[in-house]
Amino acid sequence: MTRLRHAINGAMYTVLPDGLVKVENNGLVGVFDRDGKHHSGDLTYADPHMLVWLAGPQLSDDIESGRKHRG
Amino acid sequence: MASSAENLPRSKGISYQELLRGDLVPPPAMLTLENPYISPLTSVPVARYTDPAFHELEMQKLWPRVWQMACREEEIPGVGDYILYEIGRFSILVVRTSQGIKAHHNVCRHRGRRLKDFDGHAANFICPFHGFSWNLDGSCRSVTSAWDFPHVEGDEFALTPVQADSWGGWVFINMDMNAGPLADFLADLTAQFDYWQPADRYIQAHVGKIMKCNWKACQEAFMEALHVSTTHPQLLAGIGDENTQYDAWGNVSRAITANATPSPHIRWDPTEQDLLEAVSMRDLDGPELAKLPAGITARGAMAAGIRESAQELMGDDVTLSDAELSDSIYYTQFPNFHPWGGMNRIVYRFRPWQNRPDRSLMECYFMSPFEGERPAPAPLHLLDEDDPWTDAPELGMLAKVFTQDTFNLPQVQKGLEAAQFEEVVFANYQETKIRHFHDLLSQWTDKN
Repeated sequence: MTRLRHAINGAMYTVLPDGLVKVENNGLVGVFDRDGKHHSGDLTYADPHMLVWLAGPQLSDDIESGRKHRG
Repeated sequence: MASSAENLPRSKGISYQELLRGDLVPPPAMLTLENPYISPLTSVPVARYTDPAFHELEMQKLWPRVWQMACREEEIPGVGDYILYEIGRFSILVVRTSQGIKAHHNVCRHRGRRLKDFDGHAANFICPFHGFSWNLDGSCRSVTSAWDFPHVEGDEFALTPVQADSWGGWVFINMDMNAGPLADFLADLTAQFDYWQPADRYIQAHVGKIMKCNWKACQEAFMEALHVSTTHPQLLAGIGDENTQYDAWGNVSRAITANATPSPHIRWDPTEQDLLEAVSMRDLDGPELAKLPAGITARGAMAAGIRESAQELMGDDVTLSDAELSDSIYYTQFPNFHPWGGMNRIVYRFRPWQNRPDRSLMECYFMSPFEGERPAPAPLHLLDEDDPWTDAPELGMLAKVFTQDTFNLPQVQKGLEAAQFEEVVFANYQETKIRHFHDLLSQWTDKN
């Protein structure tokens, strides 16, 4: 998974090639690591659980692409 | 403080019962039951999660007296097969004998060495220290240099017995030989759950992970949907988190969280296609999903898809309602057994790890239906405390969901240990299951 919109605030989260995550919200942009630490940009806070989901430990592509259940 | 079920404030979202009334295939009767839990308990001491004295209280008054799930029958299929069930400082041998499943304390009656250090198969239990031995049924088989033990009567030298009984393929033990029957203890669970024939499932996956938190802090993270909007934001567009229904009966509590319905927390109106994409966890850069035909809801489409898969496995005569196929129906049988209802495969168990108040073992079973001969049960895949859940790909996407929960739980424990206040507080309704659990826990720890 590489790109996801936050369902509450509408922020767009995009995984970058270096594993960091770019977050765009209300015209501001910030880049964060998977633990929520701010690396660059005017946007200084991002949802840590979105970051974990997108840039934390990942499953193989076949599991990710077959995502359809929660248990 | 709430005084009656009718007076409890609820989410502004659609109620679960109202949602059920729109389903194409109606639910079984137990899903239409409502039994809100009324209790004055709104907080418990922080010490319940941190204080070694409270942990010891549980070790004295709860675990040696309560019925608790030890294993599945299929894990000890042949006479002589045994597992070690460990809870805090206690170690129990659960063994299949020619007279059925028995349980004994895993302690040599001579000088106290543990008889077994791991699961396995045995013709009898021989102490590795001096060689005393016991039959599978716990009776004494031999005393080394018996001439030197004239004061030991073989008939009185049996392994210390533990009660064992089964329900739905699950083996439960109770160290209290005076405890009432398992059937009575589980009655409120079995009244609802037998419908899903839990004995006719097999262990498709079994993953455990050592968690850096108290066992109650860990299990409580899986007993409410209040945390979903913050901890699992990727699910929000397609999950009825805040409008989850919570109920309790006797020793059991239940939550039902509907899927393919929008969270009351979101401030936009998703289309049915949006809901379908949310429950499918579609990557915005991934392939497009098929468009829902007009008049078909995401909930109906989700149920139909799972129904088709289920019928391939279980036959066309399987009639499963939309709710059983789509929703998260999660029971808690006091103190630590969490089977999910409907077609969902999840069963959780949580317990202290190595007699420590700040460590726990979380286990997730996938209990799946099967056709024909019962498949061999998956062995426990144990993850250490720093191993990521994604090291267990057999959990599928649930491994990533657990990763989010695990992002919180060690910090919960650290926070509780540093807390400069006395009590943690619970929501009246959305934390029903936790309040119900702590009320029961108090009853056990207050007993003489």
